[in-house]
Amino acid sequence: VDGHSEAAFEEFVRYRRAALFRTAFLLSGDRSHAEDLLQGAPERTYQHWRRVAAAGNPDAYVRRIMVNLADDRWRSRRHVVEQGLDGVLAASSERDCQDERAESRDLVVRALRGLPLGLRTVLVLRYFEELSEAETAAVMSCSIGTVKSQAARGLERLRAAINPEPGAGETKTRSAS
Amino acid sequence: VSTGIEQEARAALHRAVHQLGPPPLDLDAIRRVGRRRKARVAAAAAIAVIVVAAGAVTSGRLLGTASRPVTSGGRAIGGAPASQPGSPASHPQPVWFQSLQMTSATSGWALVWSANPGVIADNAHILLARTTDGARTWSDVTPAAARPMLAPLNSYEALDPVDGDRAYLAVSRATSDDDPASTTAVFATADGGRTWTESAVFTTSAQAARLSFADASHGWLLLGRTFTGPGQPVTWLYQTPDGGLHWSPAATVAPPGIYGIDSFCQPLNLTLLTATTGWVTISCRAKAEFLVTQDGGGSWAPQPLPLPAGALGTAGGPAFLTGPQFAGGTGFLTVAPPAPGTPYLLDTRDGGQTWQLRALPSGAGQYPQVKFFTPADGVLVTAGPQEALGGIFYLTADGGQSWTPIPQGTHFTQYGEAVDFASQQAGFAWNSGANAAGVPAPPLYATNNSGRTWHLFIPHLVTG
Repeated sequence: VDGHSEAAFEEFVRYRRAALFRTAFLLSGDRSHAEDLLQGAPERTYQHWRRVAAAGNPDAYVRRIMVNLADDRWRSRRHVVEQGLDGVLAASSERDCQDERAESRDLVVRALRGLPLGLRTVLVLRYFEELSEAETAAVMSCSIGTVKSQAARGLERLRAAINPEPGAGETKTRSAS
Repeated sequence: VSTGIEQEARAALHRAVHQLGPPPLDLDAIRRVGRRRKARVAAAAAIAVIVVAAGAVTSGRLLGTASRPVTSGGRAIGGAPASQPGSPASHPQPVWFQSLQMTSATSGWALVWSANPGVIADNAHILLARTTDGARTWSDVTPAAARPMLAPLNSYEALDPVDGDRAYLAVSRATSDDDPASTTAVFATADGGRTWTESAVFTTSAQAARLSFADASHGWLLLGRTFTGPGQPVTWLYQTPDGGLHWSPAATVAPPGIYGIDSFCQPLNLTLLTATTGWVTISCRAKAEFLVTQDGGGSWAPQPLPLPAGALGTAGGPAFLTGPQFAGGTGFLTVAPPAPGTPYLLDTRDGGQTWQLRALPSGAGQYPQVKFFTPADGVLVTAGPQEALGGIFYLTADGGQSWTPIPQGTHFTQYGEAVDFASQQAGFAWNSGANAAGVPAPPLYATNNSGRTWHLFIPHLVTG
């Protein structure tokens, strides 16, 4: 990575890190894990920075790395000893004690953490990162049909968690008509 | 157009990270670790080159030029079945489906999970399975050489079942955790998975996504990479002239007609009609492309279709294209524009040179799934947004000129439920492992009367 590329990489990381951290937090539901993702994804991006920069869309690359890292972490069970959501919320509770949004945030993040990683990732990419279905499919290396179905399922479960109603959130079952 | 629940989700997600700040930036650490990773990858690549070269010398073959018959699941070629390594005995197990394709009322192929993919488990990996009893029992017919490639959870597969005996399987495994470059191999069987032939492992710039054979010799392998610009030098399609033994690049630049650098255009589907003629569908941000080649895949051009403006996509998103599929020389293509557009069915009777619009029943839904078994006989599975299946399917016996409604004995309402008909009468409904996460292995449903009645059963996987 030459000097010009170094400067471009630094600018990219500085400019995008706040947004990337929020995405990482939603993907992981865990501040400690999100910090790991925020460190690990740029490391891997730096490794291939010349090629990534030449392709013209480093956001897409680092987003995909982040999703892959979150996926690896989720599969490896290593996350069980991490600082959990409770710790995150407790640490920030003082700051948020006057903020009525804290409870809502708690619910949303808890709901996300309760989702399988695939559903969670689709929701974050589609409705937080505002990617199209095709873009989401590209990041997740799956079909648009899978994105559609996962998004629908994730939305239903997210809504059920945020707005619990009698009977809401129960798993749909097949019915004979 | 966003729905209320989508807007609600957007607002909730943004609220959840409101005022959430990142930790202090340590650019030096990022650079230091990044450089180390780069050095490690370079060293590993050098070692791999040495090992491969040594192997080529000792075995007398070169990568990309040789193939060999291999056994499946520890079975000797032409010999009696043998237990798989590590498998104590033949016994039925629950099975989770990643994909299921029936070639008749009794025979079919599936990529399955050996354990619940929704539960973190080291033993959950992909297997290729085959059934000969109407999807009740599935036998593990995974090619032995494919098994280690399929073991990691990030493997990629493309399956092309031809009939109950013949099938092709492409498997890709990423060479590193942050690079789409992969090692890929293609396997072929003509005896129901008892024996396999295997291509040499070759390096691809992305993972296998679709596989299509026009005949026993000529086939294409489509990679699921994302195009970042028109004319971009990238091999995204491979071809074989000898039944999958040898593969070489067929298309080496991104096709024309796709959008600019932020387009996120991605090839989705592949159909090979003859050794020279075939189609690829590509999904971009706001438009789908229907591309045809007449020279074996070297050059591609958008094929005009008799559709109204905007049918292939709008600012609301690209259309969803299904097919083309060919039955007895007649081809069919379904185009489902984003809402509020209505779907279209097209057919061709001249090998794909021209396409004509055919009627769809008014109750087809926004995303109908149409499958033809002959030029005349087809079935239409009604489906709406979010893949919600309808309660009435349709049959045609005149190539789609008229449709007969068939009220379904079971209305499948669970998300992810998919229906696959092997004939106008024989159909199967299944739910993927991904959608079955966290619950016991999902049951299958079968019908032998076009869905008037469906029978539930629990399929089993037999390994060893």
